[in-house]
Amino acid sequence: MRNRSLKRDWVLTEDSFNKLLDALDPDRQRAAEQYEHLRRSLTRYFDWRGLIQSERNADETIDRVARKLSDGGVVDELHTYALGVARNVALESLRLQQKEQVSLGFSPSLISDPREDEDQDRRFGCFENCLAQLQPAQRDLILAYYEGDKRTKIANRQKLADEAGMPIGRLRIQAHRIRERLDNCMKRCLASSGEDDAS
Amino acid sequence: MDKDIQSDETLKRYLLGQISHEEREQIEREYLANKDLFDQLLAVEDDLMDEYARGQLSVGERNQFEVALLATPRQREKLRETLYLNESMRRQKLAATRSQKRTAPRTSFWVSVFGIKRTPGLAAVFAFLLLFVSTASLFIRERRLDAELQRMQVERAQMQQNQRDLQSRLQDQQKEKSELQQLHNIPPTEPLKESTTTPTIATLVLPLISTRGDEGASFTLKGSVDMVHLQTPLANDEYNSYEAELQSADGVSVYKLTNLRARKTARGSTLLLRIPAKLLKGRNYVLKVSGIAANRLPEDAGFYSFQIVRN
Repeated sequence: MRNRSLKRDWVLTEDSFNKLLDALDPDRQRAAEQYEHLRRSLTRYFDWRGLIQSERNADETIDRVARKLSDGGVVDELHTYALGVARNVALESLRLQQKEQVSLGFSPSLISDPREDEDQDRRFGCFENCLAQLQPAQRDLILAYYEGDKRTKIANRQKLADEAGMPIGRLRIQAHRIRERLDNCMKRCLASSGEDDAS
Repeated sequence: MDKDIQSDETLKRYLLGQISHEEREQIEREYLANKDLFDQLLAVEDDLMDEYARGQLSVGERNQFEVALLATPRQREKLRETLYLNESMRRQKLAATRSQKRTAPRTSFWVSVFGIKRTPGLAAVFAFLLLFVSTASLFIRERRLDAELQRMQVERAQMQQNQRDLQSRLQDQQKEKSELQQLHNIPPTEPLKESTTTPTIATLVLPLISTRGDEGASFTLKGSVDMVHLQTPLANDEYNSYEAELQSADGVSVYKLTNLRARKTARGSTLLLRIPAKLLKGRNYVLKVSGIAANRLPEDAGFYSFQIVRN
């Protein structure tokens, strides 16, 4: 697909970026953390809206918010303002995406890589390696967390949470973070084994 | 925060696009500002992916899931990883079950029963009872394992069926796409590429230098990096807090960090500075670190020189 994107006529400068950080939190360390969270949550916001260029859209939203602050605009509640901007960016990007898909006869498929079967061994190999790289307690938790079907799974999770002395919600977030670690490890592994295949 | 917004059920309905415009706005505003709620939402998404992969969603939910959560290549990759996770779990569990099955009673147990002086009749009765209980227990265990194995085979068959369905849909869509391309005489397109959601972080460890004229280390920074973690060794860690100022080689201030704390590491005390990668261009930099003394005045605590190469 041709790499069309939203039109950008303004570039984030150091000064405007500092103003954005100040608006997020007076403490720079916390501001940097808030910036990371804002970018990450905006990226998923665009994902959940079915937009392909989710990271680019998140950056565009942040740039527009920073521009407003840089121009001396008053923003009472930064996250509410950012959401309003994100909504506009989503609409613009959706129009662009629809135009791309219509012009190229593109229809989204459920699985993007048609070589799925050929890839299976490589993927399982990566997955086993990534599981093995987790700490034993994390590996046990993630395996136990997804064990069983619908009813036994719920009971298992409650038991796991009781044993760990934490609410079930906390356990789920822990499991999610381990999943994220696995996902990242998988991406690295698949990328490196892909390079090996190519060389 | 509205309690209902935090419920898993509401978040699930949000992800499936089943909620009102007002609720949706409220949830989005909350998760942009609240990291805990955002993490909870991601966990609910993981569960939905898992339920979809195991065929546990209703027909209506499956359709909504496919529209809302399989629209982008990144989301489809996430589903694929869920399928592999589930399959891998099954394999691990099966291996664990087999290994349990192979575990036999240890001889030391028999030695402890018969190795000491006991009445022969009592030992015989005890041995018989033990044999009976062990046989019954093994029989029950075997039945359970068989049932478990059957259940897993059914799940596996269901999973394979899901995969076949997905592949069949893929083939249909590819055929449709190919027909459309032929119709419009348009060349096939490259698959979409999308980078990861998690911010990419580069960690750079700076060597300590004594003067600003020294040549420092050189680091190559890829365009995909979002945040840079600068790790700086401290020659003097007696201060309660530190400040750091990143300057370009010609002395222009680029970024300032205050209220930093020294961390103890295996290599001695260090500071960890988090700097948005956007600010670092391909050029030479000097990092000036000051310790905040008891009189609250900054004192020089170190200079670090380094070069960033962009590619």
